[in-house]
Amino acid sequence: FDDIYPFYPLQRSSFLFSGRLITIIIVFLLLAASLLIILPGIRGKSRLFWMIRIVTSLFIGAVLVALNYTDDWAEARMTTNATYKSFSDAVVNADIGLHIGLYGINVTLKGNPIVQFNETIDYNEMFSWHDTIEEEYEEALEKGLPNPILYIAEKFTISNPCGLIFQYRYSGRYASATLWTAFCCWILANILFSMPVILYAGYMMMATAAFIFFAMASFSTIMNAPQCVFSIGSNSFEAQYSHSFWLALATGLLCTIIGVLVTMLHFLI
Amino acid sequence: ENTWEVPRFDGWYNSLGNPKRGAVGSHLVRLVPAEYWDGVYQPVYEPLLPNPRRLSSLLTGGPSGRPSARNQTVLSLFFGYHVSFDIFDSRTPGCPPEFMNIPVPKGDPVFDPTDTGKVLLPFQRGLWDKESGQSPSNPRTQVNLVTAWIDGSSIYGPSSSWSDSLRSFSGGLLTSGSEGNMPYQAKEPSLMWSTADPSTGDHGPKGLYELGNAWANENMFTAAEGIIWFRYHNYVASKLHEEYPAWSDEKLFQNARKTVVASFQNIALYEWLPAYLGDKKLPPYPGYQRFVDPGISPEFQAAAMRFGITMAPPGVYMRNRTCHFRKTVNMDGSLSPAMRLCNSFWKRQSNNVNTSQDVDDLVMGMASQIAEREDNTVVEDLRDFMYGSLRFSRTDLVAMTVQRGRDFGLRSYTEIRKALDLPPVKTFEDINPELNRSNPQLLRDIAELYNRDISKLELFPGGLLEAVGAPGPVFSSIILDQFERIRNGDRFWFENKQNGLFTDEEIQKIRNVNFHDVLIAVTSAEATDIQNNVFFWKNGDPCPQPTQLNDSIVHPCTNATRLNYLDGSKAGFVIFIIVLFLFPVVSFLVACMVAYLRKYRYRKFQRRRKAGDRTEEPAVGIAAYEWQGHKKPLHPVSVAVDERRKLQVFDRSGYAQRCLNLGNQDCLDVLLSNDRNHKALLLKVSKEYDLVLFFDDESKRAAFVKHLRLGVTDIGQEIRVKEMRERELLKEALTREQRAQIVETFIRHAFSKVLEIEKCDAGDMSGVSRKKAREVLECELTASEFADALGLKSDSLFVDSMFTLADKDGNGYLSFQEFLDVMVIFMKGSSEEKSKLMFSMNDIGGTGFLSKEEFARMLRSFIDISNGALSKSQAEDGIKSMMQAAGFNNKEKISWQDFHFLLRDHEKELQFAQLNVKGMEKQGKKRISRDQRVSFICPGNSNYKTDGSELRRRKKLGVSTPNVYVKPKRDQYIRNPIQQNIQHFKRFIENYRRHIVCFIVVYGITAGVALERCYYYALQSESTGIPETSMVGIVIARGSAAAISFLFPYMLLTVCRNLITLCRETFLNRYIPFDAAIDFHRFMAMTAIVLSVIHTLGHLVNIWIFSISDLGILSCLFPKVFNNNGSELPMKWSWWFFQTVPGTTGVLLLFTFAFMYVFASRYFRRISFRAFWITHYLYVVVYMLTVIHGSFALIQEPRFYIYLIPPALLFLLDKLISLSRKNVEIPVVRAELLPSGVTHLEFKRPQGFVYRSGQWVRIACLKLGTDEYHPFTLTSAPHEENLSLHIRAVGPWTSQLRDLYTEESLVELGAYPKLYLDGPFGEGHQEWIDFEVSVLVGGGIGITPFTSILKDLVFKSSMKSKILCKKVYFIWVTRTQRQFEWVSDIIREVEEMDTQELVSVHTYITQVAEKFDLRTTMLYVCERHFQKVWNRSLFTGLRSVTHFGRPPLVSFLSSLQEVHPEVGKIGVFSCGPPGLTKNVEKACQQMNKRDQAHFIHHYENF
Ligand SMILES: Cc1cc2nc3c(=O)[nH]c(=O)nc-3n(C[C@H](O)[C@H](O)[C@H](O)COP(=O)(O)OP(=O)(O)OC[C@H]3O[C@@H](n4cnc5c(N)ncnc54)[C@H](O)[C@@H]3O)c2cc1C
Ligand SMILES: NC(=O)C1=CN([C@@H]2O[C@H](COP(=O)(O)OP(=O)(O)OC[C@H]3O[C@@H](n4cnc5c(N)ncnc54)[C@H](OP(=O)(O)O)[C@@H]3O)[C@@H](O)[C@H]2O)C=CC1
Ligand code: HEM
Ligand code: HEM
Ligand SMILES: [Ca+2]
Ligand SMILES: [Ca+2]
Ligand code: NA
Ligand code: NA
Repeated sequence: FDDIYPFYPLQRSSFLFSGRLITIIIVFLLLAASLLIILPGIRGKSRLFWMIRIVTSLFIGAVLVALNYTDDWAEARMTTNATYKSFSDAVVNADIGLHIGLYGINVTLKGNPIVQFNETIDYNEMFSWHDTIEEEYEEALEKGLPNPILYIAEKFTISNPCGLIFQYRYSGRYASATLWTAFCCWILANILFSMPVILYAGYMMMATAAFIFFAMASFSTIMNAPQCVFSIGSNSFEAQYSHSFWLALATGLLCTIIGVLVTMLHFLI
Repeated sequence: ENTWEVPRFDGWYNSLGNPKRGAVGSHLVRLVPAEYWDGVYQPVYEPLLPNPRRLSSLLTGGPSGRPSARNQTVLSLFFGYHVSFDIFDSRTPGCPPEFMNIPVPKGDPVFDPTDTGKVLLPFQRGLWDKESGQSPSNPRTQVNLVTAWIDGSSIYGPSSSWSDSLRSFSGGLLTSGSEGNMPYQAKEPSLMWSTADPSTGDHGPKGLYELGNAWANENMFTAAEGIIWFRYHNYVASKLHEEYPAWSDEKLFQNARKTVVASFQNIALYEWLPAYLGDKKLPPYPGYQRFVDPGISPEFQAAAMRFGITMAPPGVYMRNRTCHFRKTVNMDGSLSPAMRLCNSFWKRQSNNVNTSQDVDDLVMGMASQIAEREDNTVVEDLRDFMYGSLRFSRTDLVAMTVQRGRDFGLRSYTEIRKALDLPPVKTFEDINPELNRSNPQLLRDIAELYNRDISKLELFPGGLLEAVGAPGPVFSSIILDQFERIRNGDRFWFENKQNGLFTDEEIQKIRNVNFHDVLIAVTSAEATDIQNNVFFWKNGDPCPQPTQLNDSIVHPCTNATRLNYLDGSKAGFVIFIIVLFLFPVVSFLVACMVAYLRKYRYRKFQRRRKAGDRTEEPAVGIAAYEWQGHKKPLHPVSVAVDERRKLQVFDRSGYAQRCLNLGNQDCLDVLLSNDRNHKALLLKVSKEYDLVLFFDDESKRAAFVKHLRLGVTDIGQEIRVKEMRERELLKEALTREQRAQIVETFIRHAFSKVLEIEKCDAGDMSGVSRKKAREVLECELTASEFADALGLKSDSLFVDSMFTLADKDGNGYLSFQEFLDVMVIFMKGSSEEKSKLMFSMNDIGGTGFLSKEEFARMLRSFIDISNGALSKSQAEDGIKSMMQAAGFNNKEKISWQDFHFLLRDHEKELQFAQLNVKGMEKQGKKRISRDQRVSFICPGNSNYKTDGSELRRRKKLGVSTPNVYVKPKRDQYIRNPIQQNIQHFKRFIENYRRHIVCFIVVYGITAGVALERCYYYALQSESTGIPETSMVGIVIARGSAAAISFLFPYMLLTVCRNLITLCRETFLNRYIPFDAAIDFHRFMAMTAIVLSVIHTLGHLVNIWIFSISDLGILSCLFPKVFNNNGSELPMKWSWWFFQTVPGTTGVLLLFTFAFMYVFASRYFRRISFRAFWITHYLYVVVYMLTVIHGSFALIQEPRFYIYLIPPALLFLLDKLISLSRKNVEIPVVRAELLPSGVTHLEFKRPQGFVYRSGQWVRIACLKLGTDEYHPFTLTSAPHEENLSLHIRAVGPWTSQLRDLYTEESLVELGAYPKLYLDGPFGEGHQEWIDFEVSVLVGGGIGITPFTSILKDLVFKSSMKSKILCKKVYFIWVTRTQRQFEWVSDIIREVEEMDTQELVSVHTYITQVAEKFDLRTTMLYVCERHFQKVWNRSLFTGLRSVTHFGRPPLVSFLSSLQEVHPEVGKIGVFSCGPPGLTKNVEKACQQMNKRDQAHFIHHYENF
């Protein structure tokens, strides 16, 4: 131990389904369940209507909260041969993924196959840019994470010539803030739906949609960030919008449609 | 793939034992413990140590041009530099910025030629490890920003991304610029350090080469070194590519890098180092030593390695392969034999080195040129003309080096000697015997500087003094030690066979590469063009230098330049501030425009109306418009002179408005306007306000004048016509208001005369000018004014007869004396006099007898006073029965004796029926009599006719004792202004206790959050460095921002109308003055706006300071925004204001506030409430902008939104409540504008609206916005068909409402605006039903619930429904009765219905002495008077008893106990100002302490 740097085993968090996300999903499922339980008490056609209403509404709410914590707003992946770790000349073939969320990035490294050199190569590391990512990077160095992960994380440090972090931090920050605003609008819309002022509910739905679109616009400014080379082994990659982004788009459109429908109904009837 | 481990760029994981060793960011490793002044981090200063600049001049001054003792070349020197940059970089300043500026000794020939003694050479302390420097066992340790390993970090950069940014990603090459073997030049901010060029002032990253070494562009010569290694990498990579075309870019790159770094290691340690150190050599490579720490020692970094500066030449030659030494172009275009060093710093565009050939020439020149002597002297290029900062472009490198030693806490020369196991030196002379021989004076001088204390001698000067043709023993051993550790601890050292990098042959091959080979490979030079050992130039080597360069043969150094960052932008800054201050002005102008527009539209509207009117000619007379005063609308009238020579003024509907008796004037003054279409006419009417008429045109006017002439000429009256300008004419006119003022003063004077009240008690007369006073005395009252004074209709019989009687001279006016006479009799006369007066008043013919007719007429006139309270038939019946009772039935004439006989029974009462005003007795006047009662209450006033069972008289005090104690407490009128103020103050505190507490709480919290931030930024947040930079600004700005963050959000609570309405029903109302919410809103808003301005001022200071601070400082303050790259130039002020989130939003916020503020001002709110309301909705913008304002987290994480969330939720809830209310439109049936700003609204009772008296509703007016509801008590009784409200205009909404129901706006709107109704709410004071006896106390507008209750009560009792209630005492407290005239009507109505004497009304007027009110008094006098006169109350119009002063609550209640001994529970209900209800509460409590009737108090505050 004295002169060999210890290689700490890592706690691996499973990708995408982090604890927070699971909590959010459970909460909303519980809400949905408890609301759906009362459905049998509603008669006739309106039962179906209510079910659709509850499910859509909860879906939108859940998405709005969850999107804050997902890390696949944008993603980049590649399969490459990469140097694996220090004190070894081992080169592994692995899938490397960069998952960009609003609070930070997740970097994944998955061996191809997973076990190589008697080691399980399956990492998912989170770097949040909340305070200074510098410290997290330093910690990662101290932890001794695999080279590709360190390589990617380093791109997001302040002293990096790419200067990515400035853009990413603010894009994410404002996207997240607008999403929360959208969430508030969603809550308001729901309250308004249960009051005799459906028109305002329609407006609120449109406001929700607007804020979702603002969030997307804010996030998409990361694409204006100076192009930065991510090159590992002989491959390189670029980030592309991913599930969360498209989910946001879909939810935004859904909200717009609901909002417009409700408003039109109000004016037509 | 590679079979070897690729070394990381950042030096991590090189060391097996400790992965961070030698890595970027690791700290320096001391050879000897640090020496700080405080043992922790503070440097040792003068005078403990000599002034660095003085030391520098003394130590290193001397001529240039002395060649290196061992013929070391300049190339060796700059190669050394390059090696240094590979292993250390601690020059980047640390954060927070700390300065150790060097004071330049007064009169320094270079830096202080003008002998100011104030010059400082800026010096900023270096980066340190944040974990060190806090306590003595771990003093400050500096940090190394590059890898300590010799691993090519100066070629590839110290991080993988740095290297990525240099790579081209094809063929393993580094990106080249326009020319193939030159690196590319930066375009935008990069990580290359970019100081400004001291000789040209060029700055910015443009034109700098992108290399691995951040400092490469410091001068052309280091850059050349960087370029050589850049080329060498590409050379090796291409070679490899040729050899292994299949290799990927990555593999090519890493293999080339491996070879290049190995060659660099070999050359640095085995070729350059021995050359540099002279004879000292490294021990042979012992193999990888895993425990060795390569950490750079501060001694090496800050002193030993800087030995090179003594070898720096004043300039550098350039030559081509054929030994042609090229002339270099100076800045001014002249030619020199060599490039001047001091003019080659941070060159973006060089005259000499641009192409790759230029670099070759430079390198060849350096290889031929012999460096300066390794001694104590340093060329002036570095000593006096080192590049400095933009503010002062030159500095002294030697002084800097000395200072850096102090910054790093280096120990003294002798201590380090000891630590290095070198033989100690005892005296300065021992340091360098050779130097002592050649220049003993120098050593003596240095000794003098150090007070001859060698133990103080610092390392760098000591090391320089040691030098003899090479670094002395101390520097040599430090340097050797350092390089040895770097080599031995490096796992990736090329000779380390365990790392698998190279085979034995390869190692051997690399060992054989020397710098000459590299240069030949990468430049155009052939092997023979440069000597083999490029670090020395020996005789016989190619191309000797023309001559040893000295500073006299090269171009002189450019002088230092100064730059003030703000130069040129000062004016802009000032203008910007002025513009900020102009925001409110702009907003004010816009507001004025809105106001003008409104007026204009109104006028247009009026004109249209007029045009419409013109078509319908009046039935009688001539159409005109009466002018009613300045800024008042014209009133359409028609005028005609009738046969009795009266000028009648009718309104358009034909109703007579004014009647001027022209007959009693000798001559008529008529003024005509002679401009503006000649429309105006002024008819002077003495003793009345003037009649000013506007006619449609001149012809109409002429017609009127003619008409007037016709009307009056036949009695010989003359008409005097004068012409003047319209403006003057209007000025001349005596308006109705002016007249009213005069009359009021008149009456007050009269009363003060009659009552012998001190004049000041009757109202302030002192302010009245003498002219006014004369006017008053000359003033005569018209009949209508007299009636008005009595509160009666001018055509009432009573007034008529009274007036004729008083008008002794019969001129149709009452003079002062005439008025006085009547008053005196009324108030003071004996009963005989009074009845006489009464008698003669009605004896129209003056016959001394009253005919039966006349007597009946008299009685009728009295009834008149009650304003028709009795119906005609009732009155006739009453008169008849009265005459019968008096036995006048059979008399034709009634003499005064008869009349007096009629009244005689009550002589006593008549006599006491005097107007007595208290005050005189207390003022010590002698005439104290029991007549002079405070109260107007006359003995037995409680109607001896009603000696029924309800009121048991207390006989103790005789007839005159009232059975219910109602004498008002009227304190002495306090004259002393101080006491007055104290009194006011006490009253204020009493009434506003809750306000004051809430105010203190709110502002306490505000102050608390503000002070917390102030404290934090002033004392706790040192590590950010912001306070040091701009203490005052930041403390003010952050403190006020915190206060704003509290005030703005919590202001929302003050406008949560629904919640407030809900809460004020709860117990909370006892602690929180919910009614003052809007006042709090205004206070908080004003405070917040003022604080916003203060905040802005604070930031103006900050931004001023930020825009004159170095970028280095800013990057410390705002690490998330700025990256220090040495370019110094801070952002302009305009950047802060227009390109940052807080700046832009801040400016926008200020703009918004300007609008909100101006439009919210009382003045503009009155002019256009709509404009106020619309601009006020900008609050949404304010909140959004403020959230965005802080979102950038420039100084701290935003907090505003955290403050905002709770109140915003409540506010939203409130809005939702408003939204969810279902609204029904209700038409208004009748709207009446009552005096004292009260609006009476009567509207349809909605279907199914059931309420109880005393309940209240909330209404919104469609025209005034649908979500603003205000509570008002229903003044209608439940049995009435319509609902009615009495609304007093106190604030914006109520005033607006009143305006809406004025005639003008009604015409404009066409119909009464509809209402939304919500309610009813409240318990209603229904409990009176449960009490046999109730006391209702209403104060001010607080009477409203009782009007409903009283009506209800009386109605119920008249319906003979069974109610428990036997007696209700209603006490109404008001400032002046005039304030609530309408209430009299209601009371009258109640009394009229109250046939069973259920209600006893007492009015307390609290402000009589302060503001004398004739009307009240007169009414009272008359009423009392006649109440006494008749044994039957003919004047039930107002049976209520009026008192002057505050009600004596305790005595009143206690007397009630006696009056109603059988009643166990008495209900007390009060409603009005808090002070009043509180007093009632107190009185009840006091009463309840006694063991008698229980008083149960319910109250409601308004
Ligand atoms: C139960 C109840 C019954 C009332 N009955 C009458 C009445 O019969 N006749 C009458 O003239 N006045 C009555 N008032 C007072 C009346 O509500 C306010 O004078 C009016 O709302 C003032 O509005 P503003 O905007 O014109 O004045 P502002 O300048 O806004 O306010 C003046 C005062 O009225 C209070 N006030 C303002 N808005 C409200 C509101 N929505 N609810 C409660 N208080 C408010 C303020 O706190 C302040 O003390 C009653 C108040 C209450 C609570
Ligand atoms: N217009 C103004 O100057 C003021 C207006 N207001 C506000 O106006 C609203 C209604 O005002 P308004 O209806 O005119 O009421 P007022 O303030 O005019 O008070 C009505 C009457 O109550 C009397 N009174 C007040 N406090 C006491 C007390 N502690 N004991 C006995 N009598 C007392 C007053 O006498 P006295 O004249 O002796 O005080 C006055 O005659 C309230 O909401 C109040 O907040 C409040 C204070 C001043
Ligand atoms: C210059 C100082 C200000 C004054 C004098 C002022 C005055 C007022 C007044 C009199 C009202 C009530 C209007 C009515 O009920 O008829 C009001 C309402 C309100 N004010 Fe202000 N205000 C000021 C500044 C502000 C500011 C700076 C904000 C917010 C940033 C603000 C937010 C509000 C809100 C939210 C309402 C309630 C609006 C509603 O009920 O829909 N005010 N203000
Ligand atoms: C041009 C004028 C202004 C400038 C330059 C300015 C600048 C700033 C700056 C630099 C901050 C710190 C923000 C951060 O840490 O990121 C700040 C905070 C703040 N400012 Fe201003 N400001 C201006 C005007 C105003 C005005 C008019 C207001 C009034 C609402 C205001 C209210 C605040 C508040 C409440 C904060 C704290 C924000 C938070 O903690 O979320 N500022 N301002
Ligand atoms: Ca140990
Ligand atoms: Ca020298
Ligand atoms: Na290095
Ligand atoms: Na060559």
